[in-house]
Amino acid sequence: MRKACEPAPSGSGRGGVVAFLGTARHRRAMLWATLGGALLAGLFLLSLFKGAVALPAGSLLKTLGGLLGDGSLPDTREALILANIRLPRTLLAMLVGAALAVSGAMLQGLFRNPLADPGLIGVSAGAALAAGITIVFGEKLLAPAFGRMPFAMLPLGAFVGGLGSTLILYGIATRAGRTSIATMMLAGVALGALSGALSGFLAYLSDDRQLRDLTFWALGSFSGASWTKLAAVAPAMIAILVAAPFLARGLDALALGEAEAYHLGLPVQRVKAAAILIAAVAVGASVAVAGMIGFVGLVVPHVLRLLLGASHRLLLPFSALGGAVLLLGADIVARLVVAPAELPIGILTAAIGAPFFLWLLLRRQARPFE
Amino acid sequence: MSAWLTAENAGYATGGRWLVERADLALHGGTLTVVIGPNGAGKSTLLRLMSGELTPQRGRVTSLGEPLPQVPAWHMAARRVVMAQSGRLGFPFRVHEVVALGILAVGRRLPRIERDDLVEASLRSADMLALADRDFQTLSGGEQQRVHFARALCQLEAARRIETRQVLMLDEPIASLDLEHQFALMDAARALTRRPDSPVAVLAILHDLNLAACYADHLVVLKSGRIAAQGPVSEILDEALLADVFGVRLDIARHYGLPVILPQARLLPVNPA
Repeated sequence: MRKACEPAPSGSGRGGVVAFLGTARHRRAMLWATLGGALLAGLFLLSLFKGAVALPAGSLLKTLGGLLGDGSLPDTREALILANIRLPRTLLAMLVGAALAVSGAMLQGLFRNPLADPGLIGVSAGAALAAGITIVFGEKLLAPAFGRMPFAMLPLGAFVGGLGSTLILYGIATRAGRTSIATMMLAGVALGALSGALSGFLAYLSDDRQLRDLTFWALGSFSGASWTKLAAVAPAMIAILVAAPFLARGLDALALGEAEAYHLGLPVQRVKAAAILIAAVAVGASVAVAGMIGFVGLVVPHVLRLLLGASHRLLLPFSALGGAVLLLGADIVARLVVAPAELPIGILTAAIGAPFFLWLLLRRQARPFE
Repeated sequence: MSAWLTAENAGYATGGRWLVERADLALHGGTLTVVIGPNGAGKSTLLRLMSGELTPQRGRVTSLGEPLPQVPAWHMAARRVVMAQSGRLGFPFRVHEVVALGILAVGRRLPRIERDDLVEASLRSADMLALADRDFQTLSGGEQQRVHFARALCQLEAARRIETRQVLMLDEPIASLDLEHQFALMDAARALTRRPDSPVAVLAILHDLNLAACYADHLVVLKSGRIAAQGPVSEILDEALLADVFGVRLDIARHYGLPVILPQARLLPVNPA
């Protein structure tokens, strides 16, 4: 029943409009994936080269080649900096960026609103509070048994905090299957403030070293990156990055509303639970190793929706790529602007992200909150 | 022939008030059932009970003999398709993406070529193919409604490979449509019930009594959560009954053999107390 006058789009092989649109979107996605991949590779190398200590490119490449080739590491200062500081830091920045952006995209899908961000709605603050509690009390309770608190406790604590605040928030903001965006934002601000206040109170209970740790948590930084930290969070983060795209269809359906998603055949409660869990793991793990880094989860999915459309099948994997690019780039800038000192990266992302958020709000005034 | 979807003495209450007090309704294949009634009569609640979205607190709803809560979501999606009243989206999905959501549960295993063809045919049936690449959020209310109708058609067609005894539920499907598309949508719904192979059962909530009279095979009149009357149009279209339910004086005329409902003046008082 196809109309004769419809032009057959070149290259698709078939005449359908929908097939043509699908092919066009696929091509666009491939283009952006190539560009993003190239950008990430470039930033990866830049991140290894640049920093407080200048590493000559020649010896760096030789060291890198040896490391990748037979795992050997020359006993030089440059090689040690590269292998034990720059490399884990670079990988960590990429992982955390990917995890934060994906969790932002998931929370936005879950709340059906593009303004949700783990930093804005208090999830990060909850995770940071739980991390703080783990630092201050965990050591007192566990140090006698283990000598020093096992590092794995921190991601675990941060994860529980992130999960708890997400569940509380969802419970408050959702009534009878409808999520109120105004309630969500206000409750998120309140939860964030409460977590912040309690974190501040923790500062009184902590000793000097713990206080430094707490400050680090509040501002966010990759300066403490190490293979230990990477090993503690990488499995969970990689797992959620792999799992997230499986929820893409479900999140697409949820965009219509929970009742409609059920009508379409989605096991709504299971998808919601999985999305909350994944977002909480991602935020918890990120906060545990890098502190609170805001706005990545807001900015990245939003820009990607403009480039690629709203479908989560593209949005989730591209959020991982975009988040890695953004946070690695931001970390390089944070290391360079005040070298040899460095800026906490949370300050940098907030400086970019907050004006972006305001611009979003202004743009949305034409189409106000539901 | 036994019914495909049945409500038996079904009731749903919230806030201490029965929105639907007790409803007995059976949907048969090949029948277009129209529910009419004033605002707040419980029409949408009845539809949500029948769709499985709400679980009745009294009585039960069964699909092909099975009580609804026991039927898994994806299987219900093959048996009944819902076009709900509001359908706003939080994100800038394209029109063809929204329609493709109809394939979500039931058509996953279809090859991509077939899925694209399904979406395309559904868009064409709802006269939305020309706007296939538009951002859904920028459409007018009527256009959005047509997209949701296309989505419903897409789900219905995809699910036919799994279950042929299907129910289509439409909650005020023509509320924002222009005259031409009102008729086009109702014609399409009626055509589904007249399909020679696997005719569909349609349940539609309408406000326009003339369209209801024109298209219904089975007319259900809802008042204050109770079914005041149901049956063939010719039996239900009664001036006294409609005046009592809607509180408006009506004349029922005949035009080329079809009933035409002409609202007269407001009837005062509605219920002489």
